[in-house]
Amino acid sequence: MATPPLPTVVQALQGVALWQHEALASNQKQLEDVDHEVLQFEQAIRNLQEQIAALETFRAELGQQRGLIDDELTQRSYDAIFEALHAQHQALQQRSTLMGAAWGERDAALARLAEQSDVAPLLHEYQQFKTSVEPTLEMLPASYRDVIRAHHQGIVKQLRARVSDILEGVTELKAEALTFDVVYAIDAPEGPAELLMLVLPVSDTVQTRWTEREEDLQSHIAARAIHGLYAACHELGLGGAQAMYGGHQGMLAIEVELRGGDPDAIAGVLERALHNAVSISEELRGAGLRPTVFRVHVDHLLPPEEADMETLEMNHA
Amino acid sequence: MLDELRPMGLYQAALTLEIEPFEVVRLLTLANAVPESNLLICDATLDLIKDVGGIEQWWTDSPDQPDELVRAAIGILLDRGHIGERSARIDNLWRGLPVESQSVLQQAVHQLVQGGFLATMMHLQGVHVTVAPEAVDRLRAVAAGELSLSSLSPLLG
Repeated sequence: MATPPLPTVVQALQGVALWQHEALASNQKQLEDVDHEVLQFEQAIRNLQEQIAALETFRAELGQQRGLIDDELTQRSYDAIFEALHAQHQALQQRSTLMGAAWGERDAALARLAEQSDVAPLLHEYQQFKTSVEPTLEMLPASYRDVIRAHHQGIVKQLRARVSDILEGVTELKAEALTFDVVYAIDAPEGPAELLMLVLPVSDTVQTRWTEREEDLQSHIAARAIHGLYAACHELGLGGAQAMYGGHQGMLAIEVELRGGDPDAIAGVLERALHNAVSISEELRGAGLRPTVFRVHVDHLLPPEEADMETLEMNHA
Repeated sequence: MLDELRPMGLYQAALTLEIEPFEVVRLLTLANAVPESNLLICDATLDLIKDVGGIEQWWTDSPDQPDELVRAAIGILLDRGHIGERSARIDNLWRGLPVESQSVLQQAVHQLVQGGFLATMMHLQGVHVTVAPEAVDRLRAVAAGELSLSSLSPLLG
């Protein structure tokens, strides 16, 4: 049996060369695969970066839209508030007309008072004094004058008491309860309160043209609110405060300068004072009115672009 | 006849006092005397408003000529001693006068305040006015007709 030939070195190295070829080929393949994957990942990253950039652009656009929504909110809130106030204003005008008619009946009752048996003699004496006695009073000695005047004052006192009984009685309207808002805002751009603004759903003519119109229920609503406003000012140490009055969309607007202070604390004092002022009013109760006090954001009561113009229209009273 | 005996409403009180209705309300609030019923104001309450608000009627008779009117008004302020801290309600200066005279005095007061002769300030009673102490001598001369103020020339001619 022949002995197999011994491997030569050349042959042995051929095996190594084969291994090396295969190993290199495998390695090259892996490198190419990795490079390919790296390229794919790089492409994916570029795609994601582009998506991120697109999203950032979209986000910026959404941010701008947020500002527009805030602006829209201001305008919509302002419109909604004044739409409600206008509706209340119209209802209050009608209620004011009703109350005016009721007050007319009260005045008619006052006229009939003169016909009552216990009042007529007093009134006759009062009239006699005014027409006949008073013009000649200076010709009498002082002692006589004093006696006559004292007697006359007694007559006047009795008559006034009867008149007051009629006029000061509560006129109760047979009408549904009517709710309305006293809307206010406190401007405090730097933190401390600077300006208080109120709008009432009554005609601004109760102040701006008061000499040309009759005093009515709307005048009284405004007066009661202003009583509350000044009571709050006194409580807040603003005794010398002077409100400014003007019209806003035909309704009465009021401004008072504040000298600092916490807006929320001021709001608490104001709301309590306004509530007290309107709750003591018998004529508002008799008219079936149910006022509520409502605080709003200052921009929702007077949008910034209108503030300067409107403020200039306010007048000191 | 009974109308003479009825208490005043808010607007009537304002007309009587020659102030605005909501100033009446402010003073009623200050006096803690806001009526609970129908905002009716009796004579006693009217007197209270005058007292709290320092509302006075200074004029019984007034000159027609603007320059005489302004001199007289300055004289009233000085005679009543409204100098420095002893201020008075500003509308007392023209309460009771015809509208034209009121307008003349309001413009004159404005000019005199601008010129430093008078000073105005916020007061519990309302807006007050007083003669600036350093201007007393010159305003006395104006009231006496011995001096004319250039700041008043455009107004008085």
